[in-house]
Amino acid sequence: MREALAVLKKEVISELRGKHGLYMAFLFSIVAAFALGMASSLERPPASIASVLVMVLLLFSSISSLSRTFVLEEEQGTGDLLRVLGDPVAVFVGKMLYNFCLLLLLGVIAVPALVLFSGLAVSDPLLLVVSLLFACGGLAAAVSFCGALASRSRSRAALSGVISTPVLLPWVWMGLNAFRAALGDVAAQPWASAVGLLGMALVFGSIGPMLYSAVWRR
Amino acid sequence: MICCRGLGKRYGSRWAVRRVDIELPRGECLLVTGPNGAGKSTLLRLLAGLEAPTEGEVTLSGAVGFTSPDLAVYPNLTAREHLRFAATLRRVEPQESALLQRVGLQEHAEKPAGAFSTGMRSRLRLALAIQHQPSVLLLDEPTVSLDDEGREIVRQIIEEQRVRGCIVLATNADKDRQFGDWEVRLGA
Repeated sequence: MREALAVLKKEVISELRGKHGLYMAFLFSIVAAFALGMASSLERPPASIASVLVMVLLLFSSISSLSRTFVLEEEQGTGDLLRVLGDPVAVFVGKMLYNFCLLLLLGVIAVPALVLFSGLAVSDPLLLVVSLLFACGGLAAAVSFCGALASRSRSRAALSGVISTPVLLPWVWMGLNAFRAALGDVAAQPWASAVGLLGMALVFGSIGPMLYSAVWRR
Repeated sequence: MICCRGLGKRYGSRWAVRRVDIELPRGECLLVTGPNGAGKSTLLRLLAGLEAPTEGEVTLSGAVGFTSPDLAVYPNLTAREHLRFAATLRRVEPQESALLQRVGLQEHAEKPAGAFSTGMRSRLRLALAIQHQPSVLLLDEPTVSLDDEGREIVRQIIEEQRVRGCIVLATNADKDRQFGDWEVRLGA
């Protein structure tokens, strides 16, 4: 775990000093929340539409910066340095933790901003917080998995996108269901959907290191 | 000990390295020479485990240190942070001050590697390669971009590592044959 935390620390330092994706992601999330809020200011959107707005906001705020944590290592040539120094499990877990922290930070800023700008009514605050937490975990694990798998390919950016599409569909479905219920709609088993998001995080967080180990060396 | 038998690596239809047999005991130093494209770097990457061989096998005992001009460092991390990060991943003591002094970077310890010259980055990579007291040290073009002082540091480090029993394999340009008990020349 100490090695994974060292990878997390390295990612945070590099991001804060390099300012690659973080500021863009924050800028996008705030502008998107404001734009969605303004577009729906005359008429409060129903929970079914509001949950779509939340998911779109989370997904598009983060997707460009998350998958790059793995791809960037290969693009800037530091992938070999990592392979010389560490083991793939620590690297995967460290990068996944970084993705989770980044996503949670974005979610904690963007989702309340969307609620504020759009005037959404939160009927179950606990479910909203838990869903946000688990949705961030599920998305971080899934995107890390896709980024790691595609990182050693020659057309890594395209491959990462192609792999992400089927992997993210269950995340979207479960997230929509959980957020709909949290925002006042009647949804079937909303807590089961929230727990499903956690399960997704655990599944991809577990098989990710194994698959990353397999592609670690060419 | 380092031992490889029938080692080969093919990219597409082209063999970068083929039928390489090497066996070296502790404390030996081997210089690998050859023209550009002969497969010197590929051979060291195979030995370092960064590439999987197409044929043959490699047996290495102990930890491996590796440096190459192609090995990038993190532009936003300082030299000290690199060594601490590497030490945590390797589960060894960082000894960053001693290592930075050894490669002549003590005055640049807090500078980000992105602000380093090519020669300074080579010195940082060398410090990273010897940090964990490897049993096998693989040096790909270790003196490229180094000034006279840097080349002398490399020569001294190779000697120190050999004295403590480390096997050293270095690639170098044909004109520079200052290292090595043995020399193997790869063809183009």
